[in-house]
Amino acid sequence: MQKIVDNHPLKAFNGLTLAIENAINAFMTSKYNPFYYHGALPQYYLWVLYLSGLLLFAYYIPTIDNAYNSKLLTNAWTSVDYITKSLPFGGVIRGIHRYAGDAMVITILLHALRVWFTDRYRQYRWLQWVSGIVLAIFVLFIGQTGFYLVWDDRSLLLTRMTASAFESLPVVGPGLKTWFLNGDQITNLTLSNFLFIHIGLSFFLLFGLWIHYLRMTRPVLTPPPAVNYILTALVLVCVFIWPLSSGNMADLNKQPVSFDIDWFFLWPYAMLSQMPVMGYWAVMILGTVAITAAPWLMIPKQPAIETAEVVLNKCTGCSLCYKDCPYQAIEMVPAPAGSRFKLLATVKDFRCSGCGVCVGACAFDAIDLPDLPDAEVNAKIKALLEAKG
Amino acid sequence: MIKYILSPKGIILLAFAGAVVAVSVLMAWSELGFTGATPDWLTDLTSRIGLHGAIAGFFNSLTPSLGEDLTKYLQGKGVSVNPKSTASLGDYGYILFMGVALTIGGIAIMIIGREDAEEKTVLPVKK
Amino acid sequence: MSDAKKVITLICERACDLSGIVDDSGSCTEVPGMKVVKFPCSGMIQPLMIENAIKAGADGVVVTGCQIGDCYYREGNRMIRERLLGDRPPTLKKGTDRRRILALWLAKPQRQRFISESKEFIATLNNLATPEAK
Ligand code: SF4
Ligand code: SF4
Repeated sequence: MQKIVDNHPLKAFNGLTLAIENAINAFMTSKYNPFYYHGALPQYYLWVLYLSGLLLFAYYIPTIDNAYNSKLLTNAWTSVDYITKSLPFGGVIRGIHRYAGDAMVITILLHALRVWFTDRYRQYRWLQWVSGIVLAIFVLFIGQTGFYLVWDDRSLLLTRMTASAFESLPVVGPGLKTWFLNGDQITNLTLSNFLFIHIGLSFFLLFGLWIHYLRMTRPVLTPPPAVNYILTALVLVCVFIWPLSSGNMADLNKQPVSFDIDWFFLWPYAMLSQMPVMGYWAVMILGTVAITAAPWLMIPKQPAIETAEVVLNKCTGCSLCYKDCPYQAIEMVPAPAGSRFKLLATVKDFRCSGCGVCVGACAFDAIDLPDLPDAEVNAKIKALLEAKG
Repeated sequence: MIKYILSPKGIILLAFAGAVVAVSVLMAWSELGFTGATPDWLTDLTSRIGLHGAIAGFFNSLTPSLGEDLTKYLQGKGVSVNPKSTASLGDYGYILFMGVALTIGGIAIMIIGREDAEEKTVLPVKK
Repeated sequence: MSDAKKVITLICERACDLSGIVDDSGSCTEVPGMKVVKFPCSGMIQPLMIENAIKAGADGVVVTGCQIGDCYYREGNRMIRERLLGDRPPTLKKGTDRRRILALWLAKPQRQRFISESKEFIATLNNLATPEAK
């Protein structure tokens, strides 16, 4: 069994989360409470991003100029301009792609805060926490490359800021800069690289998500359709209310000085413009390490989990516990020679949460939580019923 | 069935369904660029059933009011489309009304669906 | 009048918060006749335990887990709900009197709802004129 940690530092937030969710349940019921699908919300927006991105990709040209066709300048900026102004629904699709990205960041944040506040991020869930942070960093970086791709003033400034921030790092710096620009300076190849990063990393997210879902039996991947409608509607309405427009085409001979901040993706640049570059890296790297280590930092002395134990001579190998365990902590192995049954359940202690769901699944009393065996539970029930009063 | 439709819930749902249809009509109107300029195939189709005048008239009547407002709002936000292309400001109106229709639809489904969401399970008695 | 009905509540320790209304002996001070047994998760409750409770003389059993969708261990409350409804093995035995079982899915702050639902449940138990053979 896992002990409820009463002195959890975020206990107050847990109460707050529950109160908010309770209020939502009152009029939406648990079936449609978006907080009960918090992990599936960013996943839904990811599909929206893939689809809208595919449509944009069909018309996007990843170059900064087109020296061979000087009469008719064609580059990233003009292709985005064409998409936005001349393609039917082009501006709208571009808007959807942008706001679905913002929505994904918001929902990821909600997801992370909820698992944190409700104390669902540590011990047997450490892999989910750590992979989630890696995924979030990737999402942030993918989003930022999206801002470079439109190739307006802001893109140029962001590209230069990133390149010089990379360059200032010791040892790996120059290499990173060359990788980022795909050469020593900004050329046509730079934008091909950005496009490659933007799309390539997006598909890498799927691999990351696979790790994120490992050990989760039956992960919740989609909210109910009615919730999806509302999620989609939120993005669509934003596209109308705040329609997108590009800045001026980037000009390599000029240095743009200020830009509008998209607070969901570009906040690191706001930081970078306010502090010395090494300070920026120190904050970013230490911050990431601290958040990644939060499960261990927040509660240094985590009581060990009492993991489930199989009673060897009772287990019939029926696999019911294996099917129901929410953390894939049970493995069915061949029964030892001489057994009447073919299979035997075994618990992988490092995955087990001590929840007892396997106890509920076993019709043969063959699996137990050592600190609360079912024989004890039955005895207690009996004693309570026989007691007077 | 009839009983359900006439219950308070049924009436609310009918209102929602009506709202979704109304907003969807606005989607079509937006897609035509906030006018009643229906494409030929639609003109032909609606003329055959004798509704063309009514539809085009209704759509055109929205142009100076709602159409004007939406256009002004979008232009104020810096949206411009290439007049030589088939893109139109109506695309943005389309997406707005689609969002509104989806919201109304989503809420309606939640109203229908909340029946089977419970905080309580009473076991059915088996015969 | 017969004395108060004996009802046993099998509850997840993370669901509806009963601390303060359950005394050391496991009796609920707000609902007469109710005893409470805590579990780490409602998913641990075996249908067999419910049957045993009824056999041991309970007039009713209230199973309580968190709001469906909000199990701390992801799926425990769904599991026991499906087991009670007969959709997931192991299920209740055929002869078990299902009128004597109630399941509630309540979040931590919903103590009042728990009390009112339990009282209502006990009232229906009082109306079950002829207790079937237990
Ligand atoms: S449910 Fe019980 S009997 Fe079946 S495999 Fe698991 S431990 Fe063995
Ligand atoms: S179902 Fe059993 S084995 Fe799986 S996590 Fe829970 S206690 Fe551990």
